[in-house]
Amino acid sequence: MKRVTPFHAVLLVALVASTAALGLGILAAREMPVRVSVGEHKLRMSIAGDGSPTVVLETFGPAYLETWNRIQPELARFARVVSYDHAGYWASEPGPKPRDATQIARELHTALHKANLPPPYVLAGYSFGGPYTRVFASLYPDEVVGMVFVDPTQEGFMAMLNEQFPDMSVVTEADRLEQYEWGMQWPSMNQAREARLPTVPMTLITGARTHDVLSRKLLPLWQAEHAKWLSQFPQARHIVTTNSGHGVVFTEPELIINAVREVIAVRQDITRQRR
Amino acid sequence: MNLRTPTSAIAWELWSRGRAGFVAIAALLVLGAVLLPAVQQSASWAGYTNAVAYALTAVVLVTTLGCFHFTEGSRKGGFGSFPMRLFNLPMKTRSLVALPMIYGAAAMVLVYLLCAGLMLRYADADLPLLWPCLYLVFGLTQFQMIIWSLPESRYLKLLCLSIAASIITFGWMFFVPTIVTGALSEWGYTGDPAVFMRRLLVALALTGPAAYAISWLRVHQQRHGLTTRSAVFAAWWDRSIGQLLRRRTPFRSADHAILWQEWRRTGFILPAVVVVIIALTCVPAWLSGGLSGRATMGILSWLIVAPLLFAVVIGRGFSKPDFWSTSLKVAPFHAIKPVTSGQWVMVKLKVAFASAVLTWVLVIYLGFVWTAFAGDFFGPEMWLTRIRFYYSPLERWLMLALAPAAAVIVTWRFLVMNLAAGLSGSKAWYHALNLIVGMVMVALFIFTIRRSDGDPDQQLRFYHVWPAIAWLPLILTAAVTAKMTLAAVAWNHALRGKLISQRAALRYLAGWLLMVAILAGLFFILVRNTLWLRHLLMLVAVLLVPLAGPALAMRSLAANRSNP
Repeated sequence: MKRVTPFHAVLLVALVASTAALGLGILAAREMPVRVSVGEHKLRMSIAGDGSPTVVLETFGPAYLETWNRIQPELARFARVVSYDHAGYWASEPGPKPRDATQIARELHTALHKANLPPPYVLAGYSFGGPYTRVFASLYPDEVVGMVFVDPTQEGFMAMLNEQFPDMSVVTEADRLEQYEWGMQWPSMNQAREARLPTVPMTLITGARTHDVLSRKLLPLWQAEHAKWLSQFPQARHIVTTNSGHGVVFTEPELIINAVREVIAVRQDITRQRR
Repeated sequence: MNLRTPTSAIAWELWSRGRAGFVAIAALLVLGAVLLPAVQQSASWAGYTNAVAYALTAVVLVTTLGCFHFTEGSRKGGFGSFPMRLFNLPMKTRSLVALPMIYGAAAMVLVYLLCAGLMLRYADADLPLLWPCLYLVFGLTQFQMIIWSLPESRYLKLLCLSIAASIITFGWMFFVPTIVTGALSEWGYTGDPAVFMRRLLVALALTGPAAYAISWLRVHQQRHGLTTRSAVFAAWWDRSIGQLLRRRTPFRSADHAILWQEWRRTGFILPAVVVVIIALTCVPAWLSGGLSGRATMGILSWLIVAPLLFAVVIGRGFSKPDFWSTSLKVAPFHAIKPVTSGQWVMVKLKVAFASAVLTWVLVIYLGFVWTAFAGDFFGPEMWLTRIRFYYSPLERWLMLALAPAAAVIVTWRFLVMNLAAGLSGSKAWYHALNLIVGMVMVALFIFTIRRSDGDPDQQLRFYHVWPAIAWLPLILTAAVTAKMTLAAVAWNHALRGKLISQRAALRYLAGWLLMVAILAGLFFILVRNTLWLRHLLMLVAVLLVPLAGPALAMRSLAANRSNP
């Protein structure tokens, strides 16, 4: 038998590495987010899983779609899930201004249809994604069958914050003139306030963990605003977690996954009962 | 052409040495003037306008510096000096020194103005003229002064060049109003930043005459064979370093002797340069007092980037048969060393690795000491909080173990990046690769500056580069396959040609596997949830550690040795 030489070892390593590279390349290409054309510009979207309804993950523009990385793969086990970068942020091209909630909701709606993701939708909005999903639901009430709010921004709280702590979350005149999402916060919150939501299963998660004096002072007001707003919807469920703060999507992904799972289950029960 | 005046003689000297460079400058300017309007008007390429304009400008300016630096090395190992063969020109030393400086300064200014008019006007930034011109003249004259003034001491010259390089790398920030205003307020300066900048401009303008005066004095001394205090100091410096590195026990083998020689000549360069840079950064930062958490993180980030950056730069020289020689050919005396080309390459790899290890030990140690004594813990704490937020304790411990090893591997990789080209003796190959590396560095530098400048929203956008990112799975897979094919061919040749022993080849292969595993392990932990990115980083780990390179370097060196 011929002796194994170092060249054979190099050859073996080369073969194994090339084969592994091919596998990894294919996997990476399959899992990479795609860009979907929305008129003049393209949005980067990550689509995973199968089935209906489609879970749409929404957050504030500066947060990229990878924010949902701990949640999206788990949701994809039982539903089709989509997350995306807002126009003008990360890998999505800039879109028409003003970048307010209505514009964002319309753009998302177009993107979902262009990506062959037909309704019904379950919307999950994190932080400022809360107001955005509310505007989306009011614009397309027949297409939304469930909503999950993850520590959402409430206009009442923001108004109080603006009054009592004017140095926090300052939107300058320059920001307003630029008409990006940061500068359009107040118009977006006004649109969310006026939004009429459909009667669908709804869950709101509040991150009640505090990490400093300021957050201890503000948390009761934040929580109260959540409870006050949610009281309009008798079918809604309020979950308060003391294990997480505002970063609940990173620290307690299972809480959000379960909330979405329950909203989908309730919706399926309702559909069955109607039949 | 009749060379009747010293002015025309020096001009001819510059022209005859840099013809190819002048043609390249003209071609690049024309290319920029034609390309940039087209890029700006193109719907899909408009986002690249700034990058193309800045990259072309940087390449043109570096080429201009290459044509006008007016220094010369010698094949015996001289690391550059004033062209001594011109000492017998019938002209006064003051003119001999002044003319190349004036020509160089005028060329830099003229080329910058041309770049501004033809290319930079398409970039969406305010276009300053005065300070960049003065700054370019400052860079050129400081470089000339150092090289011309210290022909005797390679170490001292390297030290001074490192200091000048770090000043030039960061100095420009003091002329950018947004940066300087923030920095001055951080340092407790209460005056008007505009006044500060005006004073700085005056100081910058004065450095030119100062550089001329020092160069004149030193070239005059060299021309007349005068022994000077600085020459004595330089000789003392070289003797001291030599004494410090002197070996006191006999060598076990030829292999060992070459390892020692290589270490003495090149091994300590990266650690020494990095320590000097750290000292230049940390000591003034310490003395300025009251650093903020953000500034502390800035300094610590620089400490981490510096070894990698300087490994790329020093790696250009490290890849040559002799770091200190301007020639790429193996000197006959070295060609007959009683070791195979494979052993020689392995020695270079080992020295580079030891150099990288020593560098990172120093960086980590000095970084800790500096942070403890002078830094603000708020910055590092914020990072630790984020790390604690994202990673479990086990992951954090693994990262702590793997990160320094990965840093050493990447630094080592940068040091030996150009080994096959450098040892081949082919100037075309060597310079072509250096040019590519230079362009990549300039592009990265510009990208970093653009990302960290001004509009915070800008930092969150990379939609222009996404189409390129989308191709990465295909590009990286093809690159790994090509690398592996090349490695199989190159190692087959090296082993058949008996350029390296089977045992050494197996040892290198085992080392390669270990290094890839370390990098892959770190990437695996770092990127936990973005699976596509994690897959791509696995491919990057395979590409980062050289496998074909050493075998190709052995082949190159063998050919170079047989044709010294």
